[in-house]
Amino acid sequence: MDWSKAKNLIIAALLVTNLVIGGQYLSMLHAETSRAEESLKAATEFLEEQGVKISADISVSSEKLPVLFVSIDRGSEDSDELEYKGRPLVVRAAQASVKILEPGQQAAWTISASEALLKLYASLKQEGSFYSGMEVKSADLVYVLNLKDSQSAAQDTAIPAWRIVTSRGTYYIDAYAR
Amino acid sequence: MSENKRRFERIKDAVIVVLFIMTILLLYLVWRGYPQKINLSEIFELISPGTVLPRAEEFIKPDFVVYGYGDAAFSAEIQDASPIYDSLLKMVQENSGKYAVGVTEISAEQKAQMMREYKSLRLVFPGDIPFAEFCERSGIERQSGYESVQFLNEIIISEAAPESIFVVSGDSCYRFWPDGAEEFIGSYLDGIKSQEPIFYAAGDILGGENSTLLPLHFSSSLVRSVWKSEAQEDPVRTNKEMAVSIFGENFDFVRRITDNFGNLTYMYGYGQKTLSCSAEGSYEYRMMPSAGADPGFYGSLESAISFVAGHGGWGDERKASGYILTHASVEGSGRDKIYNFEFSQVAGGVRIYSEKGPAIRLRLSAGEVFYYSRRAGLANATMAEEKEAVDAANVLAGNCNLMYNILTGDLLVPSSDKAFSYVVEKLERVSSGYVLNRGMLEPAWIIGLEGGNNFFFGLYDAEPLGFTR
Repeated sequence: MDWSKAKNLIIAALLVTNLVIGGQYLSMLHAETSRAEESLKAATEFLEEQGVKISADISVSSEKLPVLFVSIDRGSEDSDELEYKGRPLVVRAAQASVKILEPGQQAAWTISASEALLKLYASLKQEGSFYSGMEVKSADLVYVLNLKDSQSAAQDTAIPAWRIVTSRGTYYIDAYAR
Repeated sequence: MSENKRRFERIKDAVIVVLFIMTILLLYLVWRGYPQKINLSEIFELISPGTVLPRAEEFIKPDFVVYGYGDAAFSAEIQDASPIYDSLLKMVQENSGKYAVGVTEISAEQKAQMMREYKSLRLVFPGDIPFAEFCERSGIERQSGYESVQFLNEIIISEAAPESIFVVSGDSCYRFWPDGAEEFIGSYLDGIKSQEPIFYAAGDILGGENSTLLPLHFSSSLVRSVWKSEAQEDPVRTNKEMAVSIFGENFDFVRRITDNFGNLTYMYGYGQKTLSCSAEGSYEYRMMPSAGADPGFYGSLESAISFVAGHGGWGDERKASGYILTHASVEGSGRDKIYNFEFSQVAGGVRIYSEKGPAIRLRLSAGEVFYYSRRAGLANATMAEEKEAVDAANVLAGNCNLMYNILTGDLLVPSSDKAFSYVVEKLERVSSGYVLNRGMLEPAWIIGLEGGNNFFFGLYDAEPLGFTR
C-alpha cells in the first residue's frame, strides 16, 4: 500500500469532515444569536402592546452561572456587599450576615432577560396585580438568597435570578427557569 | 526516500493528528451547544447492573399463616409463611381452568365457625391486593362470579368445606367451589398438627367477642440486638448519593439548606421536588403528584420497587436481612388513583417496628413516585436460649390504662375495668417482633389496635417502648 497516498486521503477526509462540522457549529451559533434577538424583539413588542414601557437596555445574551453555597449567621446583621463574578448577592426576607462558601461544581445557562420579563408579566397577570403603564427600569442578573422558607438554616444556596426593577417595585425571577 | 520527502511525510502525520483532534473538539462543541441536550438518564434508568431488583411477586406473600385445630385453638406461623403460600398457589395454578368454579359469598358467622370448629388454614396478606390483577399475574383463569371479589386480603381453607377455597375481601368472604377438587385441597389440612405456642381468641381468654388470637404462653430466643442507620458510616456521602439519584444532572443546581442540627434539605425549583435528609439517617422525598393513566396495582408496585432500587436500594442480601411488604392500599379512582406501599425491614426473619413508621413508604400516582420515605438500617439479629415471655394477656392488663389514655386523650381513666374492656374490644393483632428503640432492636410485644394504632411493650418485662398512631 502507498502510505503517502493513504495519508493524503485521510487528510482530505478529515478536512471535509471538519468543514462540515465547523459549518454546522457556526450556523448553530448564528441561529442562536438570531433567535435570541428575535425573541427579545418579539417579547418587547408583546409587552409594549400590553402596556409595559421598557426603558431599560435589555441584554440579549444569557450567561452560564453556578449556584453559590453560603453560610448564614443570624446573630450578626453586619452584612457586607457580597458579589460573585461581578454579580451582587441579595439576601431577602431576613437580616443576617452571609458568607460565600463555594460555588456549585457546574454552571448552567440562565434564561434571557426577555424570557424573565415574560415570566414576570405572566406571574403578575396570574395573580391579578398587573397594570397597564408599568415601566421596566432595569433588568440585571444577580444572586438571590431567599431566607423566607429556611428560617433556621445555617447554610443555604443562593441562585442566579433576574432582578427586574419596575415602577411598581423590584421583582426577582429564577434565572434557571424551573 | 529523500530527506525532503521524509520530512514532508512527518508533516502530513502531524496534520492528520491535528485534524483528528480538531474533529473531536468540533464534535464536542456541536454536541454541547445543541439546544436541547439529550438526557441519557431519562432514557436509561440508571440502575447499576449489580443492583438488587426484586420482582413484584416476591413481595406478594402472606404476612402470617394461622392454623386452626378445630377446637378453638390455633397456632400462627409468622416468620416465613411463603412455602405454604407458594405450594397452595402452585396447586391453584396447575388446576386453573380444569374445573368449573362456583363463587358465593358467605356470612361472617359462617366464616368464624369454619375457622373455630374445623381444621383450617388462614393466610393473611399485608394489604388490599386487587383480586383481578392477582389472578391475571398468577396465571389463574377468571370465571363467572370472580368479578364480585375486589381484593385479596386473606385466603382460607377449612375442613368445613374441604373442596373450597375462601377469599376474604375487606369485610366480605367468598367461597370458590371448584367442582371435583376435594382431594387436593383437603390434603393441605391433613398435615395440620398442633404446635407451640397455642393461640386462642382474645374473647375466650379475656372475655367478650373479640376473635384476635392471643398466645397462652410464649417463649422466644430474641434478645436485644444492634441496629445502625445505613447512613451512619458516612452520612455526607450517603446523603449526596441519595440526592444525586433523585435530582440527576440537576443536582448541581438544587438549593441545599443545612440547619444547625445537621439536617439537610435539597429543594428543586420552588419546592416542586424536595429531599430532606435527617441527621439520624432518614430520607423523605416529595414532589407534586401527577394525574395520568393508571398502570394498575402490579405496575405501580413494580415502579415502587424500581424506584427504591435506584434510590437507596434493597440491600445486598435482601432475603437475609431485607424487606417485606407490610401495607398496600389504593385511594381515589381513574387518573387520580393513588397507590400506597409500605415495606418493613426484617432481622433474622423477625419484623422490625418503629415509632417512626415503616422502613420504606411510597405513594405513587400514574406510576410515578411522589412521596418516598426511607429510614433503613443494618441489623445484626442475635439469638439466645429460649426464655419465657410475659403473657400477652398480662401485657394488656398491665398497660390498658396507658393505652386508654393515649387512644382517648383522656388522662382520667374511669376504672381499670373500663380501660381494659375498651382495649380488648379494639384489639386487632398481637404478635412479637423487634422494636427500634434508641438505636437498638428490642424484643417486644406488638399490640395492634383498631385504627392502625400499634403499641410496643418489652417482650420479657412488658415495659412500654412506644406506639404509633
